[in-house]
Amino acid sequence: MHLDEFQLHQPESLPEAISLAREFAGQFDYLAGGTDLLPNYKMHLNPRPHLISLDAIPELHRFSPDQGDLGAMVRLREMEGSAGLASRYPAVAQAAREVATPLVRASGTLGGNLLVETRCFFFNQSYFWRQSLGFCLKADGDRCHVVPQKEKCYATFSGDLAPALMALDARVRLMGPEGTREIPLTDLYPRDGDGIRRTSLRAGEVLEGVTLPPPVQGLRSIYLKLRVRPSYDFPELGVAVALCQDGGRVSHLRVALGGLEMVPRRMDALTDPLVGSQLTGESLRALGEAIRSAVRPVHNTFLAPDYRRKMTAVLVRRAVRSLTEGS
Amino acid sequence: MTRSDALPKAMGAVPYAGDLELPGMLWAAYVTSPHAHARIRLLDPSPARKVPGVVDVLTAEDLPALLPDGFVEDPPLLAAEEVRFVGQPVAVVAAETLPAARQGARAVRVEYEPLPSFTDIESEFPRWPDREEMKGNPHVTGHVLARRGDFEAVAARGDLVHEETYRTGMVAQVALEPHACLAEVRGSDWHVITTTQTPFGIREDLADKLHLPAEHLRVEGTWVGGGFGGKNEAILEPHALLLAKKTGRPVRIGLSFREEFLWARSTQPAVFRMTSVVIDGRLVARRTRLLLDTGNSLPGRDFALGYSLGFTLGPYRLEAWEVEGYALRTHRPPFGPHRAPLAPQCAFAAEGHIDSLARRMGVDPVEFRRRHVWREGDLTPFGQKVPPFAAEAALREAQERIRSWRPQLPPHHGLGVAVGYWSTGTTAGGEADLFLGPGGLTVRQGEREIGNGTVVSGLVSVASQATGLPAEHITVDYHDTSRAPYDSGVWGSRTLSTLGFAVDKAARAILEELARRFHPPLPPRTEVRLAWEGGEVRVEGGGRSQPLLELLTPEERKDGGILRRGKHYGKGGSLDESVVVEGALYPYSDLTASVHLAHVAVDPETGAVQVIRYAAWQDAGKVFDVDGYRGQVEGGVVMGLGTALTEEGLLGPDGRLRNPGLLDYRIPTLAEVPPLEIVALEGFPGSGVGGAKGVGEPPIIPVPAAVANAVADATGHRVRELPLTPERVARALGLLGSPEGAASDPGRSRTP
Repeated sequence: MHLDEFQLHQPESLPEAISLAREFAGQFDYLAGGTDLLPNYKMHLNPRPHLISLDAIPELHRFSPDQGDLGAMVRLREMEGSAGLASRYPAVAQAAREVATPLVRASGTLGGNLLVETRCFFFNQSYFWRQSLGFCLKADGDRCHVVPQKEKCYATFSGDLAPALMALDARVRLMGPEGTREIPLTDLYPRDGDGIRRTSLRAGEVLEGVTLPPPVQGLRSIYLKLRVRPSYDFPELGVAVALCQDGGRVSHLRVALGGLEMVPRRMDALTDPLVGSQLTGESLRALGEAIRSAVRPVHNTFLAPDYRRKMTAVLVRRAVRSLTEGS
Repeated sequence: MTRSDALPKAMGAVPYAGDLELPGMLWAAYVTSPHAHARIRLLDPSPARKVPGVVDVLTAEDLPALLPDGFVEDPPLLAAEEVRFVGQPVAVVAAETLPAARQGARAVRVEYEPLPSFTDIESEFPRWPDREEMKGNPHVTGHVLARRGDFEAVAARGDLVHEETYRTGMVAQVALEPHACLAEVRGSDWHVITTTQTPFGIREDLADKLHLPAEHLRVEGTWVGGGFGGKNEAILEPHALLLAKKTGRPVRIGLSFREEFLWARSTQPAVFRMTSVVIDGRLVARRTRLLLDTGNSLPGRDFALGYSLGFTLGPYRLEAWEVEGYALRTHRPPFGPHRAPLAPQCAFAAEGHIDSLARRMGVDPVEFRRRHVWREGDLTPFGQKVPPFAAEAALREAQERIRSWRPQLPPHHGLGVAVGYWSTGTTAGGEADLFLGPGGLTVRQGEREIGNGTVVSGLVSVASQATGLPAEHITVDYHDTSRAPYDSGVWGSRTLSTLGFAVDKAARAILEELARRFHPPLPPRTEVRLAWEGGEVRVEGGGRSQPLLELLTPEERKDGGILRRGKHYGKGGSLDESVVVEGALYPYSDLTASVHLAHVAVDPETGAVQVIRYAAWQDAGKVFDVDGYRGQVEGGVVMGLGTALTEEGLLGPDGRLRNPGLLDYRIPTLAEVPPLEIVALEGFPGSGVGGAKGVGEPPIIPVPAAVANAVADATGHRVRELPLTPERVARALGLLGSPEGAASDPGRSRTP
């Protein structure tokens, strides 16, 4: 498959990138590692005539895990190999290691993984394939083949880093034509979003970097991933848990999920009530079941929704258990 | 030995068919069916002709004028009125550039009227069908029934009648090199350069499809980036040749990986209904009933059915047996072999079944197999005398290994054994020329290296061992079908054992001739060997040594050396035809056993299976090239692990493959490969050169069964459907009650 022609822009500063974004409004994509975007372009999935590469902007490459400060263009390979990241934010280093293959991680970036395109059996196909069935909402068409209707896209969010970073209360810095803002990562993914409207990024905004708060004393975190092929696969489910206990009682608990729905999400409403309590086998089982009932995967990935929901409960329990053991 | 092609391939210096160009060459792109089944209401290529760069378009309308005798076969090379699978070629566009060809292909106007499609054999035949009803069924393209003894009567007095159903899914070969070819027609010289396992086979196929005399066809093989049974048939070549004929210019066609998955050739789903009967603790009878989806394969091309049914009985002594199978033509792409066509699937059913039977009886499954497995001299169900056969010896070794592995097994770990057997294609014949000059030995023949090493190093090893000349002074010289001696192809695990035999015979003919030319004469029956000394070939025998040059005739000196041709046409197996009630069974030739042992760990909460270590005992006959042999066993096991655990083509109810790409059709990577122990058992000679047996296919056969049996050992639950995804294992373990939320389009025909 061949790429259509596009014009590559290589700004060397953020203001320059943003002014290009203004100039080519609606006609461009930002290009980070390209490991997700370019294969999609090859299949004519919403290609644009202009690509604004972020690679030549020095500050996007900064990597200071000790300060919890990560530029959006940091390569996944740098993250997975970082002792500083692994000791302060283990779930993030683990999630980085779980993405794709070493080759992809050498190009793939933090920002790219947070903004990775949602995936679906009916979207990640060649032009011929999509045309044969009738184009879908997400590219060139007006209906959804997963849940037949014309309003909402059910493509699945398939990044590994988002749940890990969400569990650790990461914030993201966004810079755009209307200025700079910083929001919790959880707000980057709108609860009422779908497979197309999957982020709250405004037109022309660049994801500039991620900030992690310093880990509180005793904070532990973990990322677990479900997939078919152990070596490399997009997640069929990703579970990140951050936990802090104080004298056997939960002082802090976050559970975030990816690979299940159109956007990653954190399950605060179900975990907050556990703060102050002691974790028991029973309360853990109840948490797993509550989360299982709350999630709504659809069948647009390899494994069936009922299995993925069941595994959500299993991996949540397993993740929490592994954090409590030996603590 | 270091393969002569290793470095150039690693450096990217080896040209494949998709790299070749000829002056004035056109590029071609396919217009293919978007529907599993539809009527073509309109086919208008004229918009494509207006695309800049497009030179011509080939459709079914062109065929009568281009095919020499005007006859168009059914199905036609290009669809005319009806399409029968997604991806079926409807038109081919030739253009000055590839982008122009693709743009042209998109511009061809085709209107379809979709028709109901049949893509799921089990929804159509949920129960075993009645023989009489099937007689008029239009889906049935083949029916085989064979038996010995009265299975029903034996079953009626059985102490135990064990029944199970096993299911296998679609698997693709995933050769790293997609199909590609380059064609040129000049007068009566129809020349095609192509990636194939069998240049002569392609010539025959083309002669048939294009109605041309074979001598007008010249098939030139290139380096092949893997075949696995997917490159035995002329798929693109007829279109490339017809476009070349029509345009008067060379034409190149190649498939993308997505096209490979969608419509090249794949092994399609099968359902095996297995029944075994035990009397007095012995397996005495077995019945297999097989529904085989052969995709859009034509009647009479259901070779896979008749060839595979025997494998469902396993290599066991039986008093009574019955096999029956239907080949069903569906709206899926045509059936294609996948390294040992259907044998891993048959073994998955047969060896899972015997394993579960033994466990049900409370007997050790390996010991149970040993009691029943064929020994040399036994008769197979089809009445063939069993030649030297390593299964029992291999089972004994597996038992010993289990004794050392078993005590250390942690919870949720298990061991599984399976036996596979195969009939390697030693009866398909071949010829080779050997040319010996003072500078070295050349093997002149018609096969190209397909990646397994059998040509570049297998034939060299045979020539080296036959003559004594070190391998570095032996080269392989390839010729197209107009100049090479005939050979039937690199398939059926036959190349080294059979074409190697031809090489061996040619070598012996040269040595015998040279022995006669010593002066003064050597004592009668003195054998001579070749050696490399002082920068030239010397001939040694009877304690004497002479430079080759001195033994050549004046004419040979002028030609540069001595030439001899070796021919080897093996004897066909015999079949007791009295067992055949209907249809065709195929005799098996060299019987080759594989006994494998898998050690797995099963995650009791997720169903994820990890293969911890693996051991393979292979019935080797004789090993010529140790590294090459090991490479074939490793490759077969790894490919089998994919079939066992992760590889599955998911077809939606609309007949479209959901995962036609390397990301979502999951072949194993190196990271999935467990520590592998490979043992070549050489004490059981085959009928190939020096007692060799084939090794290309046998090592894949028992893998899925061994893994599934290990999962059953670890968990007490058996998964009877391939592949063993975490989801299937979880369901078998009862982790999910009844399936819920399986959405409107699961892309899966059934839930286990």
